[in-house]
Amino acid sequence: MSLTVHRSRPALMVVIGLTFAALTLSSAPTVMAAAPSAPQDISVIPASGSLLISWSAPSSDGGSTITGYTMEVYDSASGGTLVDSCSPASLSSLSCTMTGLTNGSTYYLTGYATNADGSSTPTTRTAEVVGGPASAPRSVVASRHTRSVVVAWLPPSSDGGLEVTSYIARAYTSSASSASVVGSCTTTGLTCDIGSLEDATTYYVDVAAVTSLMEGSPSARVRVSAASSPTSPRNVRVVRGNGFAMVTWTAPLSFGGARGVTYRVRAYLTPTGGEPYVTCEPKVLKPLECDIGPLPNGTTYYIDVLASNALLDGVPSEPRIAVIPAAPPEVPRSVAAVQVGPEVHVTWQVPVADGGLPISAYKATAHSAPTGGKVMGFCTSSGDQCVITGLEDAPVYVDVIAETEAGTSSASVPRVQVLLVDPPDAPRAVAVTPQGRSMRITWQPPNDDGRTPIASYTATVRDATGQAEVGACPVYAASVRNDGGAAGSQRRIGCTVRGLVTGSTYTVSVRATTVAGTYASSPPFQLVLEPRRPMTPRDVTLLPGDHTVTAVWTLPASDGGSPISGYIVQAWSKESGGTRLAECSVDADADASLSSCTIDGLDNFEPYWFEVAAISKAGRGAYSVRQDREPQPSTPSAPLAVQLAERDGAIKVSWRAPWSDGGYEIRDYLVRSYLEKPTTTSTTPSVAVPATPTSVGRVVHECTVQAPATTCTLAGYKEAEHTWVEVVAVNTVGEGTPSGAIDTTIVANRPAAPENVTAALT
Amino acid sequence: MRWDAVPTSGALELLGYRATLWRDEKDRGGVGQCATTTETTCTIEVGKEDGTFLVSVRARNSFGWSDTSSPRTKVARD
Repeated sequence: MSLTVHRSRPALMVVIGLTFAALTLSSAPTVMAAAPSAPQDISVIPASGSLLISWSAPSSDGGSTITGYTMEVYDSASGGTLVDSCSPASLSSLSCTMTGLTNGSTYYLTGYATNADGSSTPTTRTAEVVGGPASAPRSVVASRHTRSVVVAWLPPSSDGGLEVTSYIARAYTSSASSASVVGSCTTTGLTCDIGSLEDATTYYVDVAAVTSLMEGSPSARVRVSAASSPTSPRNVRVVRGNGFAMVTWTAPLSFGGARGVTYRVRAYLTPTGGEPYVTCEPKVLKPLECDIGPLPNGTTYYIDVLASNALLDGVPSEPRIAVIPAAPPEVPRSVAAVQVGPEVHVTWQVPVADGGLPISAYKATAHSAPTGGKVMGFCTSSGDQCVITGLEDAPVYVDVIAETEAGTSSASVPRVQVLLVDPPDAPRAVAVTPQGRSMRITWQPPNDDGRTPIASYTATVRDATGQAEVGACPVYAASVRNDGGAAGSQRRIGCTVRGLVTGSTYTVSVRATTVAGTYASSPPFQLVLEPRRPMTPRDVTLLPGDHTVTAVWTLPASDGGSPISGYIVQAWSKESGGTRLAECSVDADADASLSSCTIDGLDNFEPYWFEVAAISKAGRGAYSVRQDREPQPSTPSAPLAVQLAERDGAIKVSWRAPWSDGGYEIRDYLVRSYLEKPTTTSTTPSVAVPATPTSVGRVVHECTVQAPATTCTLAGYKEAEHTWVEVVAVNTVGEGTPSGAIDTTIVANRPAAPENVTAALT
Repeated sequence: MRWDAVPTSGALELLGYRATLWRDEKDRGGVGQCATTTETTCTIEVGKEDGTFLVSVRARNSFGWSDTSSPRTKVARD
């Protein structure tokens, strides 16, 4: 808005003295001319450093055409010094601008008109102040408060040459220039509050700077929307806690045109409606999250978030988010674990408390140690039991945890130890002695008991089909003298099944059962219960040597009712028939399962055919099927009866000498420990030596002893390490056939007791 | 006192030793103790007490304590 100051002056009538004089000098009848009257209606528009002056023509031109106008400013109301003057560029324009004036200074303006007869009387001097309107204030902002609008701005870029004395902010209901002012505020500062407004009305606000002279240009109007509710908080997320829920959200898209937004989180017991069970408001440092509580665990609560501004509550977030606060479950109770064959069956009872949520799963874990240790296996279940598979033959320690969506319980303590073991090997060299209507069954304990002592043996007699049991007899290992029933024993043990029928065919087998409940049965075999000659020796093996062949066999399945007194081995020139070239015989050892006999004086690299027969009082039994072998310098056969004794990270390995030294004295034994079960390949040390099996695998530890020692200790193992061990005999020809690899797992234990303690008192 | 490192640590890392000084075979409380990690020597202060004492040592891993070295070693002031 501009302010124009108009100042009108009364026209002054020209003093007529001069006119009178002119009249007296002229005698001709002419029109009397005179000076014009003064300009009328002088108005001034002050501007920065200038005055724009306009006027109206005088009421009288004095009878002569006006030839000019002159406007003058003086430094005083009367007399004084002429400061400046201006005249219109043409008489058609009754205005002129006086420039070069000093802003804020007061000048005294007068003017006169001129014609050919002179100038009019000057108008009465009027005081005029120089200066322009200030420009509009900058950066105007406005926000709504209760029934008012707060306006703020920055000073104008130009004050028009005058000091800004105040500002005026005005509110309108429209942006139209014709809109009426509905409220205003005035301040000497840079903000003010336009009061007495309606919250529901949209206003337009401008601001103008006011100088001592005039009001400056108004700013562009700023829209201040009618107050409304904030919109809903967005992205509301709820995370369950133990007795509370953590709620987060992001700000609403609109705060409703008002400042002072606050949030309130509300927990209800129903998905819609109802009164809040509890509410919370965020803290200043975390304005967009709130831990709402206390919320008793196990109950479903429905959460929403509400934003409010200074005027109105907003719309709550929808839908309400359901949450069940909960604690982690308690620990499962009564954990038990037992080995069932190759598996560990774990059972437990539900925890005392589930923390407020149903238990989703249990996890039973087998560790390698009572505390800490490695995880050897695990199983999961939603019930009260599960089965851990894939465990090796070492003790494991089992615990159980319960899981809910709220977390995991602590593990049950103490861990339950399971003496995890392999099943034993089957009883060896089962043999039968018919005794009228009875059958004495003998066998040799297995070499490997799966790391659990053998508790008992059961010899079972079934019918010819092997289905129906017709008799059985037990032998308890503890009842056998001198540990003869234990694994690795070379003694034969036995029992008698009675009440059988002479001449009938029966099926015989023997089962070994350990204290852990694991077991293994010997392969069943059939025989007729009647006095006979001995049956054929079993598992005949021929071991070549330098000019020798050693035959090794297992006693016959039946001695026919009379003790076997001896064996005979014959060497023939052909597979059948031919010439008998050599033989050897050996007395039977009633306590031995295996027998051997060596025929020497044979020609190296010549094929011989060998057969073995058992002899009793009833006569000689049938010979075994002939097998051929060429005598030649050889590596030793496999060491026998390898046993492992693991303790404290070391494995003591023991064995017996092999049946054959290959024709040369055994020099050393090599004991090797493999990471995995070694595979076997055949190698030929030289053209003169037959192929010998050799193990292939990654050796992790080994030890060597000189023969005739038959023990060696492997050391340096770590807890839970699983390894396979084999023994090889070495003679001058080379490494012999390896024993079958057997495995064990290193079990953690207490350290050994310190030794060689010495002390001195000083 | 000093002793030999244990021949086997039970397949677990050895956590240390504890040596105990006893008044006699019937002593159940001990006169004093000293502990080490891997060192095999340590000293127990007994003041100016005269007489004969007995010494024993135990080793420990995460599985537990070893048996006590046996028999207890007799020690007397020179």
